[in-house]
Amino acid sequence: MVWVMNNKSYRSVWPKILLILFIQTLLLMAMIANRQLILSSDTVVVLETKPIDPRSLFRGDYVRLSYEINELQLDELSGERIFKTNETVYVVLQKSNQYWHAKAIYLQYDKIPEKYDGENFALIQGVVKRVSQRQWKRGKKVNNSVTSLRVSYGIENYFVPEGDGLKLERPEPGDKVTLEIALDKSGHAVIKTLLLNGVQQYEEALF
Amino acid sequence: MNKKSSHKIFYKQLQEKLSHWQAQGWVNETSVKNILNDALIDFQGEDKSNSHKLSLILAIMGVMLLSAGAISFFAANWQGMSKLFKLSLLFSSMTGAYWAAGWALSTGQESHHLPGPKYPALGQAFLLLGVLLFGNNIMLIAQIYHIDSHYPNGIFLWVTGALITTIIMRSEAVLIAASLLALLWTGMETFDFRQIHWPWLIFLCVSTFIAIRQRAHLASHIIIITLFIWLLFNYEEFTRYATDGCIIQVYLLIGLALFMSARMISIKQIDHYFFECLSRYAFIFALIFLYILSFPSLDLYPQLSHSSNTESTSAQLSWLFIHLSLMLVITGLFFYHFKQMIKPIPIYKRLGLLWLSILFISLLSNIYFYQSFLVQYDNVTVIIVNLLLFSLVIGLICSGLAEQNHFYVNTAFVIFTITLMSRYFDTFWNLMDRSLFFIVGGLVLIFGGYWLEKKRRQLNLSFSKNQPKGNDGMGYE
Repeated sequence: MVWVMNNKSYRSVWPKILLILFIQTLLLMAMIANRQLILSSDTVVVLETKPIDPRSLFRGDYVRLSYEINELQLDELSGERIFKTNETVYVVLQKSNQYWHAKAIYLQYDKIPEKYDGENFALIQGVVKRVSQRQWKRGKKVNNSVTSLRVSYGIENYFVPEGDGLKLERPEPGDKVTLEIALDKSGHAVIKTLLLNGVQQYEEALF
Repeated sequence: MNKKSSHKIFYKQLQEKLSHWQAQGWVNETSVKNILNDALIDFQGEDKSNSHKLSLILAIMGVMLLSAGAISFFAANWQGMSKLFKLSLLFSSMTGAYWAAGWALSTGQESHHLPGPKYPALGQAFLLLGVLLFGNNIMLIAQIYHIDSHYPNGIFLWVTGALITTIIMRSEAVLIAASLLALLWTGMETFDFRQIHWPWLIFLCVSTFIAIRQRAHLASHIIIITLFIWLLFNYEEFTRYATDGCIIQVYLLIGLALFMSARMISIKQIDHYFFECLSRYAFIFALIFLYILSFPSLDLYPQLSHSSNTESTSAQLSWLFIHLSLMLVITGLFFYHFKQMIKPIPIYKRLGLLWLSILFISLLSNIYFYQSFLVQYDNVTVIIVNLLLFSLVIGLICSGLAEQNHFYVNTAFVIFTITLMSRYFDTFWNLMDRSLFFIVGGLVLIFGGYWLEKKRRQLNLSFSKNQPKGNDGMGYE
């Protein structure tokens, strides 16, 4: 075990310790700054959820959230058609009534048409987790056309105080769990508020 | 015999010898006192080092408990504390741990006129605590912001922080922690995201470099073991592109290639300990897969797909290319080893080359002819692999004796026992065949032993005539 340092190295311990502290604090601050920046964005969308599940090894109890926009039927969307697992995609959301729904899907940010720039549209970035393909259509063989996608947006976990998970995970019949999601310009998403039947339960703010 | 008692015996023998030398007038009384004092200091130094080890182990256990407590506390997501307060608490705890490490490692022993810090073990434990609290901070931030996008990235950030600490502070305890965390990282990437996790190899290179540079012995073992665990983790992913048999053959060749490379580097004395360990683990790894290939009931045919589409043809060619490249590397290293050796090259080493050639031919023929050709001869490859295993036992005993390498001899006996037991209990042959196999095997071994004994005497005789005693450079025990 290396624990005995030479005279020269043990005398220069403090600058080294400070360097480690500086680098590690910088890494943690970058993590916080990135999330705070998205939370301070003006673009906020409200999504309906179907909560499901329980606990992380390091981070405690959480509610596993499933959104309508996690399962995308390509027949109902405009945009591109060929996708692979683990690809990054940009989903255009459109506001209808209170909630936001998927409208189009693209692989590249530059290819998103300008018509989706309006107030009723927002952009969310995700990763394709599963691709469902159809090999046969009306008795004819088609070339592995993609029919639906499972997309993850990094907002599928919501950490709650120990024991509170069940309340949100299995709401009473008729209860509705909705979330307000903050989005930055390139579509990175962060959970801002959790609402149960339209009443705010948790709000995410560090300060 | 443990180190302490061997030191005592040495000290006692030294005392007796010195009194004899003093009586002979070869050394004076002052010299005797100085020599005995010197031996005593060494003896006490060993004791001190053991007490350091104990304090390090206790301190590390304390750190693990503290860290587990902190993880549970923040995972409980207690609402009685604001998030900002929790975060400040963790940041200050991390700073406190590093401050304590700085204090322990910078408090010198000037009063004792000894080099190095006064509390080295405590310093290492606090460094480890700092790294663990850094990880807690990452998890707490991920919890506060509900970060879910690709969660192994959190562990990766933790590993990065640990590596930075290791590089700056040259801490073996932190290097071990980083290696274990990296294993967790690659495990999550492989099992939860179903992909071959190549980026872990970059971590392996960096940690190997640090372990060699810092001569970190325990960390060397951990890093090497994680390499083989990584290969096993990715087994299922590799089998997406080829059959089980093909991957097992590739693993066997990887083990052999690593073993040969490590032996070559060991000879060059770049870093004796790390590569010595690597060669042993790699050899065991290769043996495990050779042993698996010796089971006929597993039917591990490595034959690749027969379908004629371009994708499967290119996959077949890639796996053939991998096989051939590894075989070329192993053969190249074998010839390079011959070149480095003092002539004449022992016969068991020449036979080793023949052994490798038969193995390579069997593996290649297994890929291309398993079903269409060898199946007519009922498990010919498996019989060859079994014969190769038994001949390896003889080869290992020969090389172990010639190079005074206990590892080879012990391994040979382990393989022999395990293979013998497996062949006895498997349903490969009927009782009559089995009996014939063991009788013939027994006779071969007895006559082989007699022949080897004769050869050994001849070799010893020629060695004593031609050159001074010593091994060929491979020995290290």
